[in-house]
Amino acid sequence: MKRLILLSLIALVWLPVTVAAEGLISCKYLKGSGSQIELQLDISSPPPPTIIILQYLPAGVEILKSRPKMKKYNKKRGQARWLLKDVRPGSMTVRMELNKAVDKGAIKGELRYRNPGSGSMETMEIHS
Amino acid sequence: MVKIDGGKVRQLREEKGLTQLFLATSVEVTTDTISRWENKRYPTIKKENGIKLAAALEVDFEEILEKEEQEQEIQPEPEKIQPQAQPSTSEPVSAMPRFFYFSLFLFVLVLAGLVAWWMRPAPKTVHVCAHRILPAHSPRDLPFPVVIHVDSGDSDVALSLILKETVPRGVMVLASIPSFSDQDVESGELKWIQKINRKKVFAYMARFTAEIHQEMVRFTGSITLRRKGQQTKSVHGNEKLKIAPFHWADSDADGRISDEEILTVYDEFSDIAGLGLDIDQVEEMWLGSGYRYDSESGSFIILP
Repeated sequence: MKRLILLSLIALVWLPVTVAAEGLISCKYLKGSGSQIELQLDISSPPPPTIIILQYLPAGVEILKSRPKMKKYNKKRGQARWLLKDVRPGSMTVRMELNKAVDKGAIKGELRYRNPGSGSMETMEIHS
Repeated sequence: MVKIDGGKVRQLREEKGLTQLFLATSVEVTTDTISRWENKRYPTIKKENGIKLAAALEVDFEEILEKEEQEQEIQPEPEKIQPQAQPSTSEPVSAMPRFFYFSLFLFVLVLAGLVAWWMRPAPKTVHVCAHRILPAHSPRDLPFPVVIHVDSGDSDVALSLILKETVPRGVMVLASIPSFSDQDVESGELKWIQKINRKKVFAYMARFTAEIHQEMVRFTGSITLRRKGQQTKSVHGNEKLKIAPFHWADSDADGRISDEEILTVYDEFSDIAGLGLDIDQVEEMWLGSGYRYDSESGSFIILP
């Protein structure tokens, strides 16, 4: 009986934790159009130690500069890549300056990381 | 029950030249009892014994009583009547209650001890597990990392343990974190004796030697806690490593480092970068379109 009560309590405590672990990161464009793009990440604890951000841009659009600095820009694919290491919980913003303005809905992004609990690969799409 | 004046009894007996044996016989008690009465200042005795004692001393009963004697209702003292042939074996009169209370105290003490023992917190069983992360393959000439994660769960107690790792013949260990306590070159056994608190990472860099003949080697390991009743457990996880012309981080051996592979490298191996791990090169491979292994130079060529 005692064990049953204990298990029930553990389940009650564990369930919200498990549910919360599924949404480790929320991500949205603060500025999703124009030539200044801002992408905001809200990272919960424990954070994934490393995150990859992929930013897809329309043909002919290039990133002039960004913060943090991107790792690589593939002109052919219109894909920019960031590799964020030693990620901490909290909010962070990725800013990029484009060579020309883009319309709302013309860009999209992707977030990739390994779930720190399960080790499984998670992928999130971000729409402007 | 009455209180008599012990000193007076002795004084009267001696004045009259009587022995304790005489008084004992007269009152029908032992000589020890008479002696005790005389030595105590105001012993309490049965009234009938007091009357017999006064008669034996040839005085009035009141003369041997305590001066301010008042008859009190108190627990009677046992006064064993014994044959005069064995006068010294009598039980002390006041010993019984004292013995009873002492026994009771002992009983309560033992009972409390038993209850405390029964209620004691059960000794925590510590579950420690060790998990090895070993690449699936590595080229003959290049080093590869081996990581062993030891986890003692939620135990807050610092645990002393012995981690043993047997490196197969044909594999040479280059460096380790933390430094191993002992290495048996013959058997290939590495030994760490460490104190851990919850989690600890043990890692080493190794490479194949020229003596290697087989294509696949197997790593084994065990972990033993320095705690009574704890068994030796095997190190779980990957145990087979193949000689292949692919980078150790390229787990699916497709000639390129994928997003998942670079994330795995950073998540699982960045803590041991001090071992001389080529993480920057892996990142270069990830940014490139692929790589190929050049066996002549014993290095990887990154494809743009």
